[in-house]
Amino acid sequence: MTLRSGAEILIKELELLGVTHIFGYPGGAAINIFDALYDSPIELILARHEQGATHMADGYARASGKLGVVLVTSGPGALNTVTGLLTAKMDSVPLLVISGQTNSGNLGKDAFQEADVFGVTLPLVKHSRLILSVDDIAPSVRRAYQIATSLRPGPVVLDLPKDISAAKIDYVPSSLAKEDAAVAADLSPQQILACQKIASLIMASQRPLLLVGHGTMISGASPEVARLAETLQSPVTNTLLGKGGFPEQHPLSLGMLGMHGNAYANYATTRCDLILSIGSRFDDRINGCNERFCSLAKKLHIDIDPGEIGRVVQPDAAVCADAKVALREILRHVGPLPTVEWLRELREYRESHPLRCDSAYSAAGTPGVGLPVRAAQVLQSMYEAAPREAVVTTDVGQHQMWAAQFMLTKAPRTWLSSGGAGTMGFGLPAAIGVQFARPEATVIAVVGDGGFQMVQAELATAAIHRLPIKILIIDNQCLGMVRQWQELFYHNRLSSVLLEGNPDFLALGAAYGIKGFYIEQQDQMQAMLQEALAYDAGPCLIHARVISEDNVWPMIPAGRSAEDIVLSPPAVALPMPTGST
Amino acid sequence: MMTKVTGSPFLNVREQLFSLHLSVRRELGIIARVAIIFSRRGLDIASFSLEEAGQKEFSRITLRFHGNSAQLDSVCRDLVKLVDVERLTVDEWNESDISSQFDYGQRALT
Repeated sequence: MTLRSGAEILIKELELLGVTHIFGYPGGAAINIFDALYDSPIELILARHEQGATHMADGYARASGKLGVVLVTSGPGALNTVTGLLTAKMDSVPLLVISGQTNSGNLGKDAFQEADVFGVTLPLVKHSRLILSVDDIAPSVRRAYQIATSLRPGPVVLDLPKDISAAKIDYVPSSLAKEDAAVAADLSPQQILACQKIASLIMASQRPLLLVGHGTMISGASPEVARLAETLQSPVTNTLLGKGGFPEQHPLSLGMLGMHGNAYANYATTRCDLILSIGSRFDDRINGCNERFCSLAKKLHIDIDPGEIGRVVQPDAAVCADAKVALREILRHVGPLPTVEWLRELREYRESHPLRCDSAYSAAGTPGVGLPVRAAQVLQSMYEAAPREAVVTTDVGQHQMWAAQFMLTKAPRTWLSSGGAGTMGFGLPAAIGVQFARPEATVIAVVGDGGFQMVQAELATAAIHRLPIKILIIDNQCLGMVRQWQELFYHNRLSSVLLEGNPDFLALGAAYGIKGFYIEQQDQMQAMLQEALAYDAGPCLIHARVISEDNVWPMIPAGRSAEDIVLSPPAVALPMPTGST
Repeated sequence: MMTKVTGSPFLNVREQLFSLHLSVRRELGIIARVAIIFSRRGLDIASFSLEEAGQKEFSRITLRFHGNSAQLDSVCRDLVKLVDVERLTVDEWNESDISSQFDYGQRALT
């Protein structure tokens, strides 16, 4: 008779599933679980806020493809993971959040640190479960793992009352059935027909466009996308989360499209006669205006989630399948397309409408020496100085868009950004999670002064573990993206966007024992960034003070289509956007 | 294995009374999961019932709501994503009778 407590069973099951890291924060309701962890080879990384822990697990999952696991206590601890759950749900990240809960007999009595975690998280999860018996723990953990990681990944919450975690039963761990995250390697006859229809529409095209989304990364379809692009000689564009699905440095890559994508990628959508979305859900940041998106084109869609096909855009042909598997089938039926003219047209447009990173005050005086920097210049320099395979995480705001534009991504899972939720505070903890997942990688967190301050306590986590992450703070002393909208659409009535009282970030870092570098002028950039990249004794902070009055261009105002793209500061006031946010 | 969700054949935008039938796994909170799909969209549920249906493991939810075809399409897509929803069918309610019925999606048990 091997009597094991619920907590021990939980930890043992996680070990069997191959979990090596859990990000969390303890508390009374979860104390039994933390006690069981004491004897486990699983490493618990103690964050400084549960939101930080959730974003760390998220970054870990995005960088590795494995399940990210969070362990928190009841009440406020669990509810502090809510924002991280939304972040993971919107971007289809496999996450498991385990929260302690008050004793099962206390449920509904407003017990100490009791919160209806199940109720609160209902709309934020792929699935969730309140565990009410010890026998339920092992099957719930396995099912949670399977649900979180299979098909379209997403977060799962397990709520475990304290008495259940203490109760003991006779438990012998059974070996795992090999059905976790199994993707059907074979297509059904209907799926094969759908792929053939897609292929036949592709072969009738002369101005094709491949749209690479996050699903490309999740299914590991980058090699197939590259083969397809090169076979067809088709240009490729990517969404924010699709960065890295196809190397942005490749001659066929147009880079990012959408609201702040570059002009030539958006131009391609207005002129293509066929667009094939590979794991992109046609989000409103990409479409602008649904009715006018890709108005000349046949629309094709490969997506593993049947709920996404036809939800926003009515496809002319679609297949609900894993992208890698579907592309392999499609590749059997396609060959080169006559795209010479199309590629020439795009190349000419690109040359006349390049994405430029102008130096501040470049018209006046000697460029470079003693002049202030623009954010985009710092990011361009960071891109040039960093190794090509560096993993970049971003926070949310103007810096995120400039980073997306100027830090080109070569490989899958090397660009992490909160897309669907746009969660400020994501960048730093995600970078911490990435470094745990990939200890050998160069990890750069690009954050703004706003988002950084929401999670700055996690500097401690980075410092304790001596993670050599480079934290690049793009400090424009304001909430730049909102300031941009207030300037463009609200007659420059700047309401609550000026960040007064920012700390001296390097002194703050020094308080945690973190090395700092400072950039305020253009001629400091290269040297500082190279020194920071070479520093690997622990984390380092690069405080880049940049000019505030700076806007992200191009811009397609919300609700408008790519034809209405604004390439440069407009002479007349722009009308209020019809779309949201 | 997945089933493709068929597109909605309801193309107009006039408001109708739709009748949805779900076959669901009898798990804690299933009513809440279904109900919030409507409340988050500001849709009012006109009637809702949950009853055992033969097999003990599965139950049947019948609900009616007023909405247009676009709203129906939107809720149905979310409903079939729920892990505990096994099958969803939709009736269009007419003065005359149930005029059309189509199968919005059947999830194969994973």
